[in-house]
Amino acid sequence: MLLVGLLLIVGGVNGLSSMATRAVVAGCDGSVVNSVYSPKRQALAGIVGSNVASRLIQCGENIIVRDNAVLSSRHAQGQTPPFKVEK
Amino acid sequence: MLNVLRQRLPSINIMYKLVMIVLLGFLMLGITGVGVFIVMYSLSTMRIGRDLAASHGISAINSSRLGGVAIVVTFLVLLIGMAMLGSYSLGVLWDTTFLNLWSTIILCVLLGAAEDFRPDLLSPHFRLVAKLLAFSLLLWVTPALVPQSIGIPLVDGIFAEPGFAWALCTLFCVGFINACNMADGANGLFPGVATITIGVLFLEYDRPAEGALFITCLMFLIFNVISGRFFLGDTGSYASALSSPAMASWVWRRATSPQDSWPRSYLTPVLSYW
Repeated sequence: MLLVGLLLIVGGVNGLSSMATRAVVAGCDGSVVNSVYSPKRQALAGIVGSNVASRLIQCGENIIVRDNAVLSSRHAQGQTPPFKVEK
Repeated sequence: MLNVLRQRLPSINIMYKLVMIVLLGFLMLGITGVGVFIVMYSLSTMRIGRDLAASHGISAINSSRLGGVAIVVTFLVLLIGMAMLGSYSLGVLWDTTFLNLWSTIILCVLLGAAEDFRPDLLSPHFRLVAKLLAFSLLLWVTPALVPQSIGIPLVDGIFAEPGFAWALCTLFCVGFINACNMADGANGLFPGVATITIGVLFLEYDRPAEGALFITCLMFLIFNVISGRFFLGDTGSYASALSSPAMASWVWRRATSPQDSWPRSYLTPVLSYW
């Protein structure tokens, strides 16, 4: 039973990670971030999880750099980056 | 046969509560929420870590003190899942301050877990000395965590001397853990306050680790409000009691402009309440 629970959690996280990747590939144009209440996303992450995921994707949008490895953060100086820098 | 089955199955009332919990979990967090509740339910039904109803005075049913273990397991699965499956990079990998801090928290959580799984395995003196040593070492090797002033004139005079500041902060951290542990055993309100505090910090700073911790605490709160099966235990008290000052310390160090002063105003009464 414990294993089933853990697998469900990992499945949910995997789905959200794929969603975040799609958002980055789409250039963070809002198509993923704004679809908070789409049925598929609700089944995957629910109301709270979907909103949290959107906030995290928006946060990642501010610090992910795709063309070069130089980190250019729009966040306040001193705030640590939560996402890997992507080439 | 039917009688044996009836004895093994939960009563209608408990089944009704469990269905409610699963529905709420699905509504709030989708299949991830259902998974979190299944993990929590399976841990709450384990024979190990059981407490009698009379041992706390605020619980009408026999409960489990593995609530903290449930929170830690869920949080770690979410965090490791985010790191392995997504583009999230753990803070401890690029900041030694976080690495030292979280290593100390993990050490204290392990001390608590030993007590939860096997009561009286470690003597209170041993745990107290271990915590004192861990924190004195942490604050010694990471002096950035010790505030140089807190805005109170007389106390700031003491904090101006690094040795006194180090000793005071060590005592505060260890005392704070024990105070939170007692508060959880007395009224069980601790998870609610922790959820609100971490939730507000997440809404302000949008850090993934706080998001995962907020979701975990929220799910635990919903599960426990409906079922009343858990106490945080030493693991949960130590973890929650240390995570919040850790975040407070981070916020304190980061707050350099007047616009950032609200977290100080917000966290001071929260920490005072605890």
